[in-house]
Amino acid sequence: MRQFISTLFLMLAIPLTLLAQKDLSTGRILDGHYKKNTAVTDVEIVGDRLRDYGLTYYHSFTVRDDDKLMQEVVDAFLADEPKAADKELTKMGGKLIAGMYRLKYDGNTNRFLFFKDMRLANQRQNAVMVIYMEGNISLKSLQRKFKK
Amino acid sequence: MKNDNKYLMEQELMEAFTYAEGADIGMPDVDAELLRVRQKAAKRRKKPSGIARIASIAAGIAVVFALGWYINSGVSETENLHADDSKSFCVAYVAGERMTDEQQIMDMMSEDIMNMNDGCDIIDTQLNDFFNE
Repeated sequence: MRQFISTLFLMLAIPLTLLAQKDLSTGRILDGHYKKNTAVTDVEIVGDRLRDYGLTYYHSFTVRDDDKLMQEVVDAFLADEPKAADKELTKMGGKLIAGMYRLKYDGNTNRFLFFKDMRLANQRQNAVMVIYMEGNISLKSLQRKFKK
Repeated sequence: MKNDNKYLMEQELMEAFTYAEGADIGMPDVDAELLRVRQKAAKRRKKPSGIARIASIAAGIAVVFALGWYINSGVSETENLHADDSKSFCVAYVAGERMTDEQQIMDMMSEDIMNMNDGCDIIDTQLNDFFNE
């Protein structure tokens, strides 16, 4: 019975979080169809493990050494800009290095989308990374928590 | 099936006529005979053979078992992901390989955050070093 309930919960919880990403262009990147790509590192965390951070959902996606897919990530992130309630973008020579969106969402839940191009951000990695997060937390609080 | 029934009916009618002739009782009432033949034919309608019945039961059981196995395998997999907490899970794919070790995945998250924070120092920092105020 416990197994059934836990399965049922997961079946309900996963589509809900996926649904929240679906309105985003970046959601297409995060929807799971790149998971088996050898250039990708995909980390997805849901629920209580994130309580300390004030988050309910965390999903990071890093692409290494795949120029086409890296460009796809950059394009998807830029396409989501109009959906941002708040945003901070850092560009160098017209190229996006890093960015953050706080996305519009119902209720107290905040959604955040972070982006970083590690090729341009002095990290000497041929990689780009995007992180999507959800939680009942403000950006300032999130910053404080991650700074710890 | 229709043809079979028709054939059966004809057979029965032939038998009935032959019987009537032999017994010298005149022509039988065709309607009554037809009705009788129909009833007989209905009785003779093939029931599934024993083997077919066993096969269908076996197929049903197989479907139930397969479904049970599928649900159970899914559950045990997710249980590995969140051993003591049914409300959460974590999973990672690294170079196409699935990882389920919670601690490793949480470490990866920390590393991601660190990567997001670091390396921005060279850039004039208006650069919203996102997590660093």
